[in-house]
Amino acid sequence: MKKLIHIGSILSILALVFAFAGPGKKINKLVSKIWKDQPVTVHQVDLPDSLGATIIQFNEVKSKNELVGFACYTTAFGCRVGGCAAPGNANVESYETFDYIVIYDKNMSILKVDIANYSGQYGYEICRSKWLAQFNGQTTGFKLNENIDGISGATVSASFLIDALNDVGKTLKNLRSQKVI
Amino acid sequence: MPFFVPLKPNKMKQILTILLLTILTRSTLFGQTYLDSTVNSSTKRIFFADPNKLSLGSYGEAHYNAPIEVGKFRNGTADLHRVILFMGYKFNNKLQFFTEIEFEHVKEVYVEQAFVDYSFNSAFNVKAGIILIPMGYVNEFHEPTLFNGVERPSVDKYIIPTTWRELGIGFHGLIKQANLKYQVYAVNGFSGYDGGAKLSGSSGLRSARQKGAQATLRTPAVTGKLTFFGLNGLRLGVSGYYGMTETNMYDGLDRDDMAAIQSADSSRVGVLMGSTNIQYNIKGFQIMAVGNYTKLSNIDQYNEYTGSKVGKDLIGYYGEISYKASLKKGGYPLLIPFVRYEQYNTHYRVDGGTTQNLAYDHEIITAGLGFQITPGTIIKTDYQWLKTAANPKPTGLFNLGLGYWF
Repeated sequence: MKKLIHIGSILSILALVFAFAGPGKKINKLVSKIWKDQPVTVHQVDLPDSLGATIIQFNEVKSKNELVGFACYTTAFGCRVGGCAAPGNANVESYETFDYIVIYDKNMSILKVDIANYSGQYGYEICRSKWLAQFNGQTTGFKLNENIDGISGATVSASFLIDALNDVGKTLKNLRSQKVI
Repeated sequence: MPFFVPLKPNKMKQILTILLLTILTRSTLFGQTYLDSTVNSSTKRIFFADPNKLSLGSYGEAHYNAPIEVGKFRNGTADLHRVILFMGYKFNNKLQFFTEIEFEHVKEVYVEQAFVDYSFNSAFNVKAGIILIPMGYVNEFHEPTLFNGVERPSVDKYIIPTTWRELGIGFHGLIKQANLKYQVYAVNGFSGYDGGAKLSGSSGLRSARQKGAQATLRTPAVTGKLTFFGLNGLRLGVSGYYGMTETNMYDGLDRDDMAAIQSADSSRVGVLMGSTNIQYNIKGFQIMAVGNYTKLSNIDQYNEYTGSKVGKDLIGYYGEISYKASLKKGGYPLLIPFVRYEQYNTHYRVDGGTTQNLAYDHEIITAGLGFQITPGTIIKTDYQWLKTAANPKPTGLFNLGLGYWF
């Protein structure tokens, strides 16, 4: 019992340390890993409300004032609270959500997708980095079981992530055609 | 109303009250929040909407079991094995509550799960309440569309006492760099003695579960599981459990009464359980294996004191192979043939004063077919060949089941 309390307290302290790393910090960490050969800076861009975009934080990544890419912090759906029977036919507000970061190069091709926060009890298999690497190199057009492998036990989260990435990609294309970015 | 069964008036009242309450809560608070178009457009709404979220659902199974024995008449049984109503409530993105209320064999009511879960981040979440012991596979994933065969595997009944849940508190989270999920809980343990022995030779620990119902608790048990998901198609789990069974004999004992304390000590058993489970999915095939070993300590004294014949070591394992064939390109319905080989023995090892009962050494082969019409509905059928070391001539069991989950 004593041991359990010790382990518990150590874990709690660790969790508290990591719990407060906000979107900005997590994005900075990823960005500096991707452009590790050049000094880059991250600039937050406010998106026009008319877009109704799901993106929580949208950033341009610049190196010496030259655009090199984009970094988004976004939320997507996981399983329904308590179970994952079937995607899409339950009360949508009862879904668990998860946060992810997607980083694009300046041509809007995905460089990296990273699950920033997944607290759901099921479907966590989508956090596997090899699976996430399948998105690299494209902007939209992702389809489960076609160009993206299905994951047994995480179908719901995988479908929602794919929908969300397609959506963000579309938003990016819109922004470019409107010359916002 | 496929599952309508006449109930006693007072039970009927209970059920109606629960239903009424759930319907009222749902219609007043969340009547208009159904997903009405595509997920993406709803996504846009959700982040700015009221964060209070309620989820309602249900799953259940109806079974028909027909034993077949050469030269004998046997009765079949039709049973509405279980209907579960579940409710999840999302207080906010960090805090949620979940409960499952179960009607078993129509007339027994249980709370199968009831817990709050607070999420600090991916790596650290706290869960407290009636929780599932993370042992093996089926105990955590027991909805009818998630396992093959009409009945749950026997190992997941007699060795891992599914649905095994107790009151407890603990942590779970992801270690993403290592592709691991961990769970650690302190839970209240089995009740080994309450005036009579609760452990038995034939079904081991099954009848000793306290299920959070006015449970005796002096020393909590510890349980945990590590799940590795780092390779494509593979899920590998390792679980453990350790605790002493509870007894009602210490209550009110004089701390100096050595003789009484000694007999109370004899009514307790130490339970150490380890389990691994592996699932591998490749091209529609799923290979699954579960192994469990349970060691009981102080069992010689327990058996002597209570006059029971509980085994010292219990073992159980199974291997299963199944294939998911889509009848329509890329979707449902699915046809799922499977074969499972199972062996379990609640008398794998016995103490000096107990003779090994060969009838507790079981071997089961199950072959069957699942017809999953939608993700949430399934018709299952299978045939089981059951034999024991005492009676090596197999008897047969035909099973037919209907399961739903929404």
